[in-house]
Amino acid sequence: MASTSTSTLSRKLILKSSDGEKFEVDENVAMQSQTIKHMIEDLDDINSPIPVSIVTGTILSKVIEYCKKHATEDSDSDEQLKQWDKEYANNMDLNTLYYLLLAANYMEIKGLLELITQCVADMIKGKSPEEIRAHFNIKNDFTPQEEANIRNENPWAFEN
Amino acid sequence: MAYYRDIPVEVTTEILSRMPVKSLHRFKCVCKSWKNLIESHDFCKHHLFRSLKINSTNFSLILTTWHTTLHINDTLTLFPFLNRAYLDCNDIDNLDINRLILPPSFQPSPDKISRGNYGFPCKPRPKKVTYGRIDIAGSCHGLVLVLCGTHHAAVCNPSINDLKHSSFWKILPTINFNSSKHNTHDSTYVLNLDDQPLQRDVVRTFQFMIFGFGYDIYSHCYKVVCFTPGNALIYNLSKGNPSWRMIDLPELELASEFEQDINDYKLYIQPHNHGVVVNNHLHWNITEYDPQIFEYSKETILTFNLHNEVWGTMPVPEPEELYQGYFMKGFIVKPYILELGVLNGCLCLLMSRGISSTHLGLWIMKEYGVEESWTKVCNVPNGSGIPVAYRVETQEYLLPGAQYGLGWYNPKSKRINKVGLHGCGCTGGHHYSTRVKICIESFATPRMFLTETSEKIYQLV
Repeated sequence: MASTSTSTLSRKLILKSSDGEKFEVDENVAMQSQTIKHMIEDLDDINSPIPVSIVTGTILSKVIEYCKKHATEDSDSDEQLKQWDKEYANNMDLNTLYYLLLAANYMEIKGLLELITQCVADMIKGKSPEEIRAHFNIKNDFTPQEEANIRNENPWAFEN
Repeated sequence: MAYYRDIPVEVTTEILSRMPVKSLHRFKCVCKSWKNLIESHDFCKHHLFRSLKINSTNFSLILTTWHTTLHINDTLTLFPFLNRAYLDCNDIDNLDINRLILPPSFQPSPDKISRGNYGFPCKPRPKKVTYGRIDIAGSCHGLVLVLCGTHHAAVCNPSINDLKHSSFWKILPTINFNSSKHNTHDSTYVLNLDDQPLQRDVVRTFQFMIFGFGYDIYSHCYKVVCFTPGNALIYNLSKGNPSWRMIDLPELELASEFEQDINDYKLYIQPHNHGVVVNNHLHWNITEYDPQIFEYSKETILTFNLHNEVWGTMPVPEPEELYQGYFMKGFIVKPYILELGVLNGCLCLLMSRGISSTHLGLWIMKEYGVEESWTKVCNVPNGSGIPVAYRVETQEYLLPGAQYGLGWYNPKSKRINKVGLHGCGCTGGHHYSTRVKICIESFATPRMFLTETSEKIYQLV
């Protein structure tokens, strides 16, 4: 599903990542991001680079890849698009997914956010609490007794 | 490396709301903030909202299994147990089973079993069968209505399965009809030995006590409906001080028959036939029948609007097949509705053409309330119950059945892939005595929407 109607002559925008990398993209591609859409409205000179402050070049290139695919109004059916989404997300490791998640959230790209959220959920749903803590660098702030109590409430959840 | 502290809480909520309940129980011990999030009221609702989407795989099966003891004098004692099988989308061919913890008054015990002479598919047939009475009468938002005997009902959430959380088991007040019209529930409410998938014989019972359990999307209330030929009661779980309240009986053409002698009842509802919720209505299939011609009957679907509490009827499929009766022992046999169910959010039903037929027809009402939209989807083997789930990828139905217990049925190849059940002393061999209800996994409690204010009302469908 394409989000914006293409004007006959698409304007180009320049996005600048947190590490200074610049990307030239069509306006309708960039406009998938609600954040950028709002930024453009406030912008006097659209030729100056738009800073995407918390997103690195590596991640921004992946975000743009997604937006390009979803901006084109070509003959892709919903089915094909879903398949593309699946392959796109499957090629990422958890770390990349995590940064993409932050980027999609910051840039307010609804479709990408949903895709990555589901993908992260699928990846971690089978993991143990220890693995989750390790993955996300979460500190265990329970006492051993408190943790044991929680485990005892639903022991079946800890069986494989 | 990822740092959790950088992830905004709304993103964490989004990720966790897509998790099965089992993972969430586990993730409560990741850290305090995750525990607080998972246990919060808003998260419960958010998670439920997501699980209610039609293609969600976040559901489990509630199995009633019967454990048997054969005594020397050929008396068979059956103890029913409720089990929960978590349907893992990674391994749908093998299910692990957990026994459901029941409150003391619902535990199976010898004084709660009754005796009967019911056909039981094992050989040699025992002379006498005694059995406990426990039944799942419906499920809604992950809550299930459990019946014990004829007067005891409770609502619980099997995903929580913890008696310490008293709020997750809500025992309803004893159902007592003050009317002398109908004082024989105990003897007439034959609970489920002669039912599918155990047996497909048509046992005509002209007395019944039928339940329905649903959620009214307009008033955000969970309601339990119970009716017999002479009484109808409703219980609103979401009210501050709920009690059973009398409501009008359905005004069918047959309603006048209720006043007559019990032997003249022309209305027949199978004893296990509890309500099915679609489109904010409960549905039961009923049979009007002519006592003179036993095998001649007319099928109707009785509906109950959960919002305005009004009874109605729903058209049944009327293809030519319905009129093509055939003779058996001198009687005209008409197809009859065996069971109602829900598939993909649509009302569906199983149509039988008599016990000698090799298959049952599965029909779906594609557009709710539109008679013409009844579509025959496929045939399923005779002896099956209504499919509990449909898997789009393989186009297979999850089918309970007499011979195979529970299996994935492919209508094209007509093959059944038996599902393995593991745990709680359950093996494939006990399949003949398994009944199945599907329920979504949630953290819902019976009083979940009690505190609902105008701030954020989810439209739950």
